Amino acid sequence: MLVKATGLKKHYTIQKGFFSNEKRVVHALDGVDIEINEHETVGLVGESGCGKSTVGRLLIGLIKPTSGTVQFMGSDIFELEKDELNKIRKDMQIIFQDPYASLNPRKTVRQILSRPFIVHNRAQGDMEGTILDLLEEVGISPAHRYIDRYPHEFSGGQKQRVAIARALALQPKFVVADEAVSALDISIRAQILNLMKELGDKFGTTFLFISHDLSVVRSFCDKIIVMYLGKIVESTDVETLFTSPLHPYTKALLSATPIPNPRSTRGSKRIILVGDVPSPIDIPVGCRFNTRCPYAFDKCREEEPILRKKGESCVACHLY
Amino acid sequence: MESTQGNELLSVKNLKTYFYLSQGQVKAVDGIDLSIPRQKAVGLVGESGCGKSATALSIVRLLPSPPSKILDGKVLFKGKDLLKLSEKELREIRGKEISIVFQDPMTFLNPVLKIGDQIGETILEHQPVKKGEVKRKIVELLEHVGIPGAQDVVEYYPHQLSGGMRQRVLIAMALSCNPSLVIMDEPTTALDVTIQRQILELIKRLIEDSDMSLMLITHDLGVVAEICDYIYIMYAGRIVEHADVYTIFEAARHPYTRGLLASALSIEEHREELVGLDGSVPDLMAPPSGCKFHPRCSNAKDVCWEEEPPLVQLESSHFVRCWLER
Repeated sequence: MLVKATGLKKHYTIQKGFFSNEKRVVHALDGVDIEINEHETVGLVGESGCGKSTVGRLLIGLIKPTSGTVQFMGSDIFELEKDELNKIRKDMQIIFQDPYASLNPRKTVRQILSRPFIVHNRAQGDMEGTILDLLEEVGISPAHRYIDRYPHEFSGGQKQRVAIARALALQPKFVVADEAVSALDISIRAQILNLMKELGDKFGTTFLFISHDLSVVRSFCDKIIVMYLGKIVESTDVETLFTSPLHPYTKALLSATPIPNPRSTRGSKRIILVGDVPSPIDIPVGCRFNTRCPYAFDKCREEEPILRKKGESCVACHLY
Repeated sequence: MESTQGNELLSVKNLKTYFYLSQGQVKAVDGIDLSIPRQKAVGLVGESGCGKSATALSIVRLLPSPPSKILDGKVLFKGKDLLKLSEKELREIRGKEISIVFQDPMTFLNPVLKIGDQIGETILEHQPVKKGEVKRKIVELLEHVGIPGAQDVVEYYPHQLSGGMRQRVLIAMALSCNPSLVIMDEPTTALDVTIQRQILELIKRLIEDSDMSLMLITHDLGVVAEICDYIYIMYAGRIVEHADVYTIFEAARHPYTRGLLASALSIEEHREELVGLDGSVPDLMAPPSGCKFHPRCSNAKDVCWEEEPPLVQLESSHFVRCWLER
């Protein structure tokens, strides 16, 4: 097992008003267990505010959990000494959604891509050759013409390629892709997905692929985890999730996703959820989904369901 | 669209909108013809930077000039050429007969005005409604677009509403004067999946229940497949293919349309490898010679480099701009 997270919680305390002393707690993440095997691509899906990005950041140690542990190749990353953690860090990387924001506008591509090598003391020998190879690898070619350019001289798709090159520079074992293709046009999105797949296979990278778009994870991932309001509601392999979803929220998500085929979408019955996702400050009592669930009954309003094994899947719902 | 000639609400003929920037000239909309029949939903599809929004904004003359300039063309709406109207005459139509819903509701709602006042402004501008009746009308509209507790929402400021609710407010505002044409520019792109579904269902219901037409601008093929009757595919300022929704999805002929369809992911199938399009949308400041799509086209012949293909008719309602179809 590459990554194993147990009982992860992340709460943020906020002040109610500027002058008020009253504190309120945002339950960004409320007890999540995740296991990711080597060479596996895991998709993490859910709507905004469900805690999926928080999970991504916790798993690579960018933020500290309120409670819970994260083990990376057997060692607890929040217990490690600083220099030990730094050593492990080169094996975990992240690609963010917005390449405009994640690349420093005042640094050239050469500077951006040599940073990982410098930080991890790997900057010996022919750095220029390494960076040129890296650029060619992510499809920015001819690389020598682009190496001294600044981010604003690239298109959105090319910038994301640079961000991918940076993340894969040290051939990490584990990469978190946080909505890495959401900001891209569809033809570019397909190119970037192909690139990540190809490089992932080549270097044996394990991906945690965070997305709100189910059609993207359908083609890219082996295993899917569905989150709602800081908890996992269902997790299973990709085929099972799309052919026989169990949790009402998963069903609603699938039913809500538009399908690019006019014959399959017209006139079909859909599950339409009413209302918005509740605030993570005031989490509903009982099952978190009960306020929007079309099947909710008394027990759902009283007792919170736990994630249980059901056939091929794990699901947190009183219906099962 | 021969069959719908008599039933035409809006018809755009040879529309050209160029931007004059310090770096050069951008041919954002370069000779576009399109037609929107009554009570139909028409989709304008393409990637960012291909001129979709510029087309929509040119139709209602909302682009700032300079830097933009509408050089040529006609926009016939109920027989009147919108490009020839005076600003005053145009204001009678804009917001009343033609209204627009934009992608990002936060940018288009005034943050310091109450929701009720913002919708009321549109109504008072265009309709002979008494001040006292306006509030009742606003509440009705908000209820019509599915906003719970409409009585209270009237008194809210935009920041007190969620993204989906703000989009509903914009739609309510667009509907306030019973327009015959609503232009929606990426109305659900900024929303979450389940909220997007609510808005899509609302749009579908509105098209069915009223006699308005819809022009939907989007890059999401899933959304057009569901909502639109007829689709225009736009690339680098030009229409490259147009046909009814089934023809586009099942018998598209232009390599760009096919590439878009091949790039579109669906929850219905697992695709091992995506065969999409290489390269990216060209810089409109220095567009390619000949067919604008030839640098990305795998079947490009010599003629594609040299000369731009004309839009040819394949069937009664299927047109394509490609040399391979000659």
